[in-house]
Amino acid sequence: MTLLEYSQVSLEAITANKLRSTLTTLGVTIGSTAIILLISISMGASREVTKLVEGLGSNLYMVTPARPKGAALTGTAQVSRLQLSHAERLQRETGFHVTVAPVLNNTTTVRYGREVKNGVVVSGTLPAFQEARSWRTVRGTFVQKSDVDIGRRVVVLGKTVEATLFGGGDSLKKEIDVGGEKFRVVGVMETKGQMFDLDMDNQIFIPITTAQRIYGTSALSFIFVGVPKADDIPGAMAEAKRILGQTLLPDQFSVKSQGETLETVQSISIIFTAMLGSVAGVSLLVGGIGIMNIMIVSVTERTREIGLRKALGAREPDILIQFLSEAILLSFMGGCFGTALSYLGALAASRAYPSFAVVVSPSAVGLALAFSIAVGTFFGVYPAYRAANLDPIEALRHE
Amino acid sequence: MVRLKDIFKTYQLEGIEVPALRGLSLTIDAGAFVAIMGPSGCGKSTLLNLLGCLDRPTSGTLEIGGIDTSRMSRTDLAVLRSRKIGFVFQTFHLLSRATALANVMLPFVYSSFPKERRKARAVELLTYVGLQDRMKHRPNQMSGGQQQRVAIARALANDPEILLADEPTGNLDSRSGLEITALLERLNREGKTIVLVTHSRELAEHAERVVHLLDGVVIRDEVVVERRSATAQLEGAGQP
Repeated sequence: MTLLEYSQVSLEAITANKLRSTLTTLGVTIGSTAIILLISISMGASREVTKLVEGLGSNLYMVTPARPKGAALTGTAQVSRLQLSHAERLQRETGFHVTVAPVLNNTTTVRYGREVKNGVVVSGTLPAFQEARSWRTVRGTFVQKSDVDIGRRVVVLGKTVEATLFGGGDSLKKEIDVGGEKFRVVGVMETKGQMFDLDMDNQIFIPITTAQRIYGTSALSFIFVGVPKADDIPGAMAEAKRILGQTLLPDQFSVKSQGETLETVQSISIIFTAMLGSVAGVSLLVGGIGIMNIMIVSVTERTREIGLRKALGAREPDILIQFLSEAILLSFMGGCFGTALSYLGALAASRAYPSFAVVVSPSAVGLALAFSIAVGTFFGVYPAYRAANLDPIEALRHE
Repeated sequence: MVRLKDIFKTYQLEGIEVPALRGLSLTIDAGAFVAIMGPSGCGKSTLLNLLGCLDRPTSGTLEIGGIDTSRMSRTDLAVLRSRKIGFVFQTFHLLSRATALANVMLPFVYSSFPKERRKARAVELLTYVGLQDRMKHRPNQMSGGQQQRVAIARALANDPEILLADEPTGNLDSRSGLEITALLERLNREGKTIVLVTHSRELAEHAERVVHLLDGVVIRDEVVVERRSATAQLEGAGQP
């Protein structure tokens, strides 16, 4: 008897009782869906994190104003004690050749002619920003030292902003309106893309001195510090804490590397993975038991058929393989349903959260199908063994 | 030829030994038509199971076509069954979800019958038993007599030497029973060895020889002097 013949016999038995077979596969269906989505989501998450790190520049750490204790409860606004002088001091006293880029952020509305764009992030910064964030301009130049020195009203546009205001047209040397003030466009940044829900290209850059003047504050939002060698990051961070600690209290600033941000994201994805993983494990187990149960019922129902097949010359391995392949086929069908379901699930998730696209990975599908076959084999052996060892005489007499 | 010599078969029932056959000896020549009779519990079924290689004797030798089967493994017995034995049961034992054609093709799955010739062979056999118009019918769409014909066609699939029929007409009306008996007679005329187990004296007299069992031994072995012929009876009734 060939494998094809075994599968044909199994398929006939399965299709003879479609509703029962479908219900039996449900557990494995859910299990494989969970496996596929689990792997696809965690792969997607690690892709996002990698993108984030690459986007920010991996050889980077940040100094942020620390939120005062209890601020979250009292609702006290965060008051930044970070000043340009701190950034200058870091640059001056470093032993690691770091690149210090202080940033003063705000949100504004920009206009050009009749085109308006709301909610644009304005970053006042220094020329060093480009190097620290490894972010190039595609046209024109970035904010220059001379612009900072005299507080010129020049602006470098992010791709999204340029596209909104100018459509396909050239924006260089045009005058645009930034929060009520005229600015001249000197450059356009290359595309950075989405970072989680944030469009990095919905941003414009102006000299930090200009930003201080317009917004009437000298407090920085944060400081980016680029470090030439990734190995130096821990050392450079310790150095920053020491230097800033001379003029700031410990709760007035914090120093964070991208690695730490990455760890936070990863720990969330680990929790997620563990949760889905246990759902997958439990439903595969339950699904397997369901298959075993229905196979035992099936063997009992078909006792006379087994007796007949033996009388017609079926050997014990013939019966064993027939019932085993039936269990495997049932389970494998569950795996296939699960695959279809996870593609649908991924599609639905992508519609609901476009920024966090779940891409079903073929290797996850392969793994889930392999698992479903393994489950069918493991839980199918016992019923098949029982069928194979039936006494043909007793089986033929069974009613 | 089938030769049984000093066959004992004892069953263990809840620790008690129950003898079913006690030193039975019997020879069935190739091409013979033998009926086995006896009251319930005389050992008929046990004998039939041994002849059909579904079971092994406790002691004694059982030769089928010159091969001693009493010490064979269960796998070897299965192979022997598929090649040399055809079963016809009282309750037909057809697969209810399969067509007549699929039922007849079932034994091919377990023998090395060439795949490309299976269908042609099954069609040929169904035509032989007179069911050329019923190939695609399922058992529940056929009469009892037709179902038993399908079962006989299935028993003939691998061209066995011996046909074992256990009360083949027991579930049929007299007319259908006669037709099945006529079919067995025809098969015997064409060279098949037929062993028929029955309670019915009338049916047994269609055979050339009747073996009577009692308490696990042969008590009488007689040649039927006035053989009945189902074929002649059917023709006498003006039917084909």
